[in-house]
Amino acid sequence: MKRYLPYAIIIAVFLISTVAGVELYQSNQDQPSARTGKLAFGMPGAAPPHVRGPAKAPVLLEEFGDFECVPCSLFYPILKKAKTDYGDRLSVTFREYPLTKHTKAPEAARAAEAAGLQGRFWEMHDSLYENRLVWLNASSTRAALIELAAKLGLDMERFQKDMDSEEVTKRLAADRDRVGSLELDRTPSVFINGDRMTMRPITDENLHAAIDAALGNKK
Amino acid sequence: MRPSTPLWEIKNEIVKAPEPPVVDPNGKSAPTRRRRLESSLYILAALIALVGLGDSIYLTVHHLTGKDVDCLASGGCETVLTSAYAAVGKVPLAGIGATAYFSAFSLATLAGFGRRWARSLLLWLVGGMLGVTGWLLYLQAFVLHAFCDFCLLSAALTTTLFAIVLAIFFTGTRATRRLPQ
Repeated sequence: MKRYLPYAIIIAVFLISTVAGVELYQSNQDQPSARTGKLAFGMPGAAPPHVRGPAKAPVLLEEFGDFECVPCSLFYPILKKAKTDYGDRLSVTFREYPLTKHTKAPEAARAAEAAGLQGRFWEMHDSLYENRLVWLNASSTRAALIELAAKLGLDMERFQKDMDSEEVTKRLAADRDRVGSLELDRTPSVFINGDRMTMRPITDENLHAAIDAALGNKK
Repeated sequence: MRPSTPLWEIKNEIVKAPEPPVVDPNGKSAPTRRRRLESSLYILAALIALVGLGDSIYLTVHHLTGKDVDCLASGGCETVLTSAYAAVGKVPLAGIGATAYFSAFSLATLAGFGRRWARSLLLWLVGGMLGVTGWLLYLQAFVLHAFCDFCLLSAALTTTLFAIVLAIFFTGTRATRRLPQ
């Protein structure tokens, strides 16, 4: 009898741990209201990230955007409306992904990050999209970006210094690493609770449908 | 002695008489006490592996359900557990850890019950686990710049497991050091 005792113990532990794992899984699944969204797996990106909304919202939307790209500028009002519609149930994270083919996007990304160092990222983000043609068509992109920043009432001496700072370079590099780890090739790339949104074009309707699906609401 | 046996064969039959075992006042020999100590250490290793199994199951479930892990001290759980290194393909790393801890538990239990073949297998397994643990600690410290409590607990458990198994292996009786037969 003693000969089989270790095997009996091993089988018992296997059964108990399997049952405990399944129970824990089911108890976590049974609480959709308390569920927190998740981000896509990959390199972590710049920390802290630029987040609009509560960090533990049930739906976490992560956008990889470029301030120069046309689809991103079209997506901007759609996302802003969705954020208004869903309130605290939706959290939006913005990641810098200036495409290499866009000559002015890196400078705009630096401007947004420099504003972020003064805690004004989202104001600069909105201003960059809303005044996209202004700074894109300006004879000096940098001068136009500085003008936008001045309108937001930023500390301009610090802003100009931060635009070329190592800290901004590191943040952009960290976001680029995340882009690479997720193997992205276009902007805007959107993830909802870790799943890439593949519907094209991103319209008001299909963004709402995707958020509803993530919330567990069936229409 | 057989009269017909040649002299050179007789020499070969001469063997050293075994040394009398050291007997303690309770009437138990030193090797018996050592075997008991080893068995106790293997049972301790099995219990440590059991704690590691619970830790890994918890992390696996949270990985699969996408729920937040309650980080106690470090605050870097989310960064670590949602990083690219938290899964191998679609398989959560914590799930692989759970399999490793369960295997360590099984081998330690078998070794504790006197199955010699399990002992060196356990040493190899825990050695491998220690290697992976070292790599994961490096990732947390130098790549992700964030630490996860549950990962640190696992690292401590694996290190303790390795220390116990290694200590038994090198201080154990000759029999415990034999390779699987």
